[in-house]
Amino acid sequence: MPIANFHSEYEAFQAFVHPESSERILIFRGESGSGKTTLVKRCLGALPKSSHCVPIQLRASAVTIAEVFSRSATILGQGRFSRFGKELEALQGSSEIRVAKNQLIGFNNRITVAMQSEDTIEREYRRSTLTDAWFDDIKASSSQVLIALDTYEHATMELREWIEGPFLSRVAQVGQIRALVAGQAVPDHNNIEWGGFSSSYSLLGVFRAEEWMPVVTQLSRRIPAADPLSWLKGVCDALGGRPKDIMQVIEGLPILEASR
Amino acid sequence: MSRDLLARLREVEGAEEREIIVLSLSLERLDPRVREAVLAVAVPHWFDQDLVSALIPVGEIDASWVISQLASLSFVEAIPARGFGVHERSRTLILADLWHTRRELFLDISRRAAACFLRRAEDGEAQWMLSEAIYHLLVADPPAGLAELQTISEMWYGEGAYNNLETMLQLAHEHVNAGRLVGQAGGWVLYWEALLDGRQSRFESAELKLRSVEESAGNDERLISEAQSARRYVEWLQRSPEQEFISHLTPIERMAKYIGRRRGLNADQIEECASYVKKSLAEDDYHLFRDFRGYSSLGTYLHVVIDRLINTYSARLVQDGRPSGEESTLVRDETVHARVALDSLPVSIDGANLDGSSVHVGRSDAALPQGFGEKAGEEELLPLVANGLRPDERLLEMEMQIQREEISRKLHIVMSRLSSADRAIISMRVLQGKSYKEIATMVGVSARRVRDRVGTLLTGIRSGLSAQGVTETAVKELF
Repeated sequence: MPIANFHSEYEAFQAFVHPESSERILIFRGESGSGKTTLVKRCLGALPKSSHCVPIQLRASAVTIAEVFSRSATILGQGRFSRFGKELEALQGSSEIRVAKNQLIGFNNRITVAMQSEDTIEREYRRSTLTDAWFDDIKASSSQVLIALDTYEHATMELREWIEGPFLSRVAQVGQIRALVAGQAVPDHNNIEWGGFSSSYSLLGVFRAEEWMPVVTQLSRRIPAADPLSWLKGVCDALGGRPKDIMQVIEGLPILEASR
Repeated sequence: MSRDLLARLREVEGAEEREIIVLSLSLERLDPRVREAVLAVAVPHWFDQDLVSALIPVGEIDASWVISQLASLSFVEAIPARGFGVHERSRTLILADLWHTRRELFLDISRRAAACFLRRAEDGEAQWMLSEAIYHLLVADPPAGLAELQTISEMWYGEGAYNNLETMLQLAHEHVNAGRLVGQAGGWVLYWEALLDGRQSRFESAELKLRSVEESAGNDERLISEAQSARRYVEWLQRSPEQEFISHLTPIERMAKYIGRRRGLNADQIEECASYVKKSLAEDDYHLFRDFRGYSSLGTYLHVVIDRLINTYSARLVQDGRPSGEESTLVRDETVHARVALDSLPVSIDGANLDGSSVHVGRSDAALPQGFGEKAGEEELLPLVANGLRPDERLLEMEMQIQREEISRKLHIVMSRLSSADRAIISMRVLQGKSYKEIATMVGVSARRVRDRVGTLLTGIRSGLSAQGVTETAVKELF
């Protein structure tokens, strides 16, 4: 998918994934349709091959803390999480509910069951134990891991509290991990624990028609107007510079006929 | 066309109208089959090949072709570990349009989506598949959707699976915001959200939601009653258990002595019993106080807790070889566990309590006889003889009934996690008493396989009940 502008955000991302970077957390905030997801995709596409990425779309996918753990194990390999596995087994010993075929359920459900408790203190203990073990496993690895969270505004309250508390605080302290968070609502980068290790960008739309002309060309589209740039400028203004809507308009333009 | 488009965009005011124009433009240029597919896949939050096959009638178009067409659209995005999804803003517009102009189609797709997610949940995929199933069921079949929402909410709340519960409520709330829920479903969604807020120390939000539930509940007395209970619980959560203990010390002691006297304890034993009750209530950082869930007033809760503690105390007297008076009839109940979640018991009790308030406890209509504990005076706190039973015998009978109902409720929760086929097997074997051979004939597998399956299922059910605090003795009695 072509993309217009976002040069500074893209450059910030490249600096952020550099192994020596002191910034471990990158935040993109923008309204719906402002191009966050497209930007995130472009950034992830440019990730060095030596890095591993765990992309998580929070919208529409009912992501829990357990899901973050299980997704990373799926992508990075369960063998990489030996300490986490041991802690999980230990916790399961006291909480696993083996019911019928549910005992054969996947890693995600095992973590979910191990983490749940009616008692607030017990639940907090279980969550901390698994979080610590997970970060220890990440620390033991030589390669970089990027956790990319998109549509953050859809995170559940529990997930949000975990991300903005224990998770990002530890990310700030562990050189092998980076966290990219994008959404209409995002963690407050003034956080005293991890704010100093983060940078935040606001996506305000792409209003300049000049930025969109290369996209029109790339998609082999033709603007049937005497002054294409003015027409496109009018569209960009009318649509508040929202890349998603502008892209839909460009896609709907007539296809450029091949020159003879 | 382009000039027309720009003119149209300039003619209307407001971002949403402009978005509708742009979306219409995008849909108009699609192959009609792809356009219909976009409408179908916009109903669920995300889609993969399995969902596309479920949503679009068999034989109409090939699912993989549909996905390849949809994936190329700029308003369809890849969702890691799920598949694809229609962009949030586009989806909102499509759903609003479908709901108002083609509701039957909306409901039909929702029905199909619910069935698909239910199947996937039963096949052992992640628990949150149930949330997606309920989200669709709430509009496709509102009574069934609400019943499922209640069952699953109770289960997840009881298990402390708050993240799962929050996810489900978040999805259901989407329908609330869009005005797609009928009846009191919206009120129940808000009620569960409030309970969850309370459990997670978001007290202000919980109280606001419960107030809103009570104001909008209309004639739904059950919802009003539950919301009131929940408000008591949220208020309780904000207080320190230690402070509560100290402030109730006098009535606790009075109640302990009264019940002890009714049980025929002598003066020394009554004093010892009162000390035992106070010590037990303070034990483990006031755990019994912290177990209070607000389904009754605190007074009623303490009444039942103290009564059970005295049962345990009496049982110890017998073990020590110093039974007293009428205790011989009471100490047989060795299954009494003072730390059962007493406030969630499925009975109704109308009457006054330690604090003299009138209360409604629990969720069933099995009300206790009128007059139970009507007066605050010590001698009248327990009922007079009724149904040919002495007060202590009635109390014992009530406790046993309470335990039976509690176990049944928890059994229902555990059973609800089984697939319908497994539930049927258990029902045939345990409730209908059919032989393995008879069941095997009915389900079309070998008797040995049925026997193995029943064994596995019963082990699972026992473990599930045990995990919910139901004792092994009680489980064995049941099976």
